[in-house]
Amino acid sequence: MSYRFVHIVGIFIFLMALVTVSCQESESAMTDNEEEFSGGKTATVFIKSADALGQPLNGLTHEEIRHFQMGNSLNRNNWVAAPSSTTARDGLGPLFNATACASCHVRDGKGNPYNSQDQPTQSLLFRLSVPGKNEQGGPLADPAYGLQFAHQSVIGTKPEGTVSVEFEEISGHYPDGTAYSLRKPTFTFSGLNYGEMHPEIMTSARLAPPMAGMGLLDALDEQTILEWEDAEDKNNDGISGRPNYVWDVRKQKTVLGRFGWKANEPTAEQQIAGAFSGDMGITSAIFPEENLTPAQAQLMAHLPNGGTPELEDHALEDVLFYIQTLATPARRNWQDEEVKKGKLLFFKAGCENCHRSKMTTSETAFPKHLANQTIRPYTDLLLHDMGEGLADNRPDFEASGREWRTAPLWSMGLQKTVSKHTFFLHDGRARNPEEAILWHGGEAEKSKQAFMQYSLIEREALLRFLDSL
Amino acid sequence: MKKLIILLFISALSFSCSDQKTEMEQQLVENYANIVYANYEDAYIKAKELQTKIDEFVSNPTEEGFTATKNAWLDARPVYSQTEAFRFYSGPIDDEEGLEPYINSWPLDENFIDYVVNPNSGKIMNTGIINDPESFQEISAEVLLKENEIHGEADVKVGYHAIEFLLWGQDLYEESAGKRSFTDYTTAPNAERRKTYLKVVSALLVEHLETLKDAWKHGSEYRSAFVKKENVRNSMINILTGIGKLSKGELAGERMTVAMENKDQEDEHSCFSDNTHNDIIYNQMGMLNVYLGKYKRIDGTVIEGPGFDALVTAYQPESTVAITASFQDALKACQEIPAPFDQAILHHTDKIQSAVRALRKQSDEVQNIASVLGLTLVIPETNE
Repeated sequence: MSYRFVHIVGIFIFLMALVTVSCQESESAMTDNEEEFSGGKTATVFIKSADALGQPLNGLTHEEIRHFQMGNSLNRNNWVAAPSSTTARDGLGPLFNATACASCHVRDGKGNPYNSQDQPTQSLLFRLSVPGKNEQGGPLADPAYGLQFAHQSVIGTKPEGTVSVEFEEISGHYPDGTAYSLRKPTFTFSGLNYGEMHPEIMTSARLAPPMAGMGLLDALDEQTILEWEDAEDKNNDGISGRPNYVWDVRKQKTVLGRFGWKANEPTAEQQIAGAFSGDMGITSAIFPEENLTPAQAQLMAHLPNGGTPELEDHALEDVLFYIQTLATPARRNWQDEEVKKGKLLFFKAGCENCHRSKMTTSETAFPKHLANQTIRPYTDLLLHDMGEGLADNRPDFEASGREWRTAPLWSMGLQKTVSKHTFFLHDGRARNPEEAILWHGGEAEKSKQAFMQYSLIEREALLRFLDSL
Repeated sequence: MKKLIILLFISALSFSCSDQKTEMEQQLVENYANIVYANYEDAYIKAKELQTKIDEFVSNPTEEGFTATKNAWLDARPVYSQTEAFRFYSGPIDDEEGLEPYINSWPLDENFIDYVVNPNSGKIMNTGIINDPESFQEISAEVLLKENEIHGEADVKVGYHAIEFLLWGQDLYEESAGKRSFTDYTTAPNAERRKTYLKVVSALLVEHLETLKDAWKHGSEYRSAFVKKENVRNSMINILTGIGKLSKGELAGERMTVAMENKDQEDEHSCFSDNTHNDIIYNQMGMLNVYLGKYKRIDGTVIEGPGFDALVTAYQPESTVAITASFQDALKACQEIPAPFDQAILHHTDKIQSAVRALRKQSDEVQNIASVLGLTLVIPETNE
């Protein structure tokens, strides 16, 4: 045997080993014998009706069920303006977007962003800011309108104004000739009641996301999320996921963000308290001041509040427990041949590089039920540049105006049943999952192109896979 | 040959047995639809009586007239409370158009409607549409039901509890219900506007109940589909979903457990009139009506037909006794909660706990009914 021959064989064996190892790695991410259990063994429910997102995880004790019911009550019933006989439920406003969590997070799912006249509903809120950063490194409030636009108010004061939308249709073709059309919204603020908006004001529409599964995402170790961080794209796959670092009010320091369209909230608790404050004008221990600009606060100082705070600590705890213990629905049809093919294509196009399919929650998660669960949320919870088309041009802590947190895809197939619509993306512009894919750009451009190159049958299969989530 | 005859005989028997069940199921569903229509019609009739009393009172407000009007409101509630058994499956009461929030919504936006007491100072705040003629020149149905499309908000300014608030006022007293004076409609500021508000909301209530009743009358689109042969099994699931969800998530959960946990005296549905204990009892009555397939109308006539007790007996006779017992135990437990409910929340939680247990047991038995009949049913812990 010649030395050269041995050399070649050696290299060949080495390469084979490399290929086998990398094939195994992608295979183990692909093969998942328990992928039916989206929320792990404990927090998955086998329901596919409109109630699918409102169920508690399995194994709650009687005592815990009471807390779940308490939280549900606070989430579902409307808050009223103070003063009111129902002192446990008053304190709405003075400025607000909705009177109940469930008004926007309908049946614990996504809100419907547009009404029958194709105009924004309350489920679409609008974040505001002006250039610069506040003391904690977050968005700087507009002097007259603050950080969020309020289109409703209690009696005795005026709402901030109205929002309307116009759509521009953008048509295109797949390489195989199939036509598609995307629509881009432009929002206009009018009837402003608190003066002019800052000339450089930045606005961003945000659709109410589903709440089921938040507890499980809350229960991930930071390390697990940071495992996929690759801001410099060291592995050269075109993906450069970055964590957002945001202000944690309880801890009084900057920590990893994971909730919200730009991963701008660090914990489920702060997300919830922030929503009570920003969306309904309900104060809590975390956000004890009314969500008003200094000028508005002075103007409305005479209006009664619903207590200090309006959402008492035990009530916030109950809502948190409720949301954390909401189960996610099991996969449907996951063994269907077309769905399995679609999953392969999803991985092949590189979608899974951001929409991570499988991870395990912390051993020390609380409530205990959420600990050590293998979950399939299809998100890495990191920020990615999604291109010009999707940019809102409004930074949020570390997130730039072009970056978005990977949206979790679990439960998306049931959105049409629970929420009765199929709008996707931060401003609900995509009328169905296919349009949502076509909006992907920036780091996702390559994967989007891969999708477009697939045949019609292959694209259908991938969509069926998404529908099974 | 003998074996063949025996075989034929047995198969003929089992065939006619399943035939009988199918027939009974058809009758059950039709009877249910009849009960629903009659119940909504009774609610509509009672609401019209209330409206008559309101119109009389408003044209000549007196102490006696005020009492008579309040009694008419109290009188209108038992029939409506029974209809809550028909909720929770996206029927005409809570489909996309969502009539329910316009009829029985709670909690009420009190200070949007009329004056309230500031709990910090004890002083009266002249809030509300009624006391703001500048911003609200007209009080009408259109104004009250302002464009909901954009905001998609449930309206808490109309319905039974809005009328209740206008008749009793806030319940600021431990030992009684609200004590609004009839002079709110004579000498008090904005008395005329208050009268208008009362008239508008009572007319609206009648209108909404009429719509509901018509949705279920013979020949209506909804009813025809509901009783269609192909839909009978699905309709049974809906019927059971309604009572299961009312029993577990709504009554046992929302209205009792949550009320007890909150320990807030006024965290009860009929908080102005202190009539919640009756709401509860008649809610349970409504569920019992559905189970037995029997409803007694306000004029004394009875609508009757095969109920689930009969159907369960046809499928699995040994199961009926326990199921029936659970419904009757739940009624008893509800009746044993001492009135008024806002005091029971604070001082008699043991009685409320018993009712919660009984209602949860009842919902378990509703689940059992579904199993016996071979129907798929989910009764969640909480409702939306």
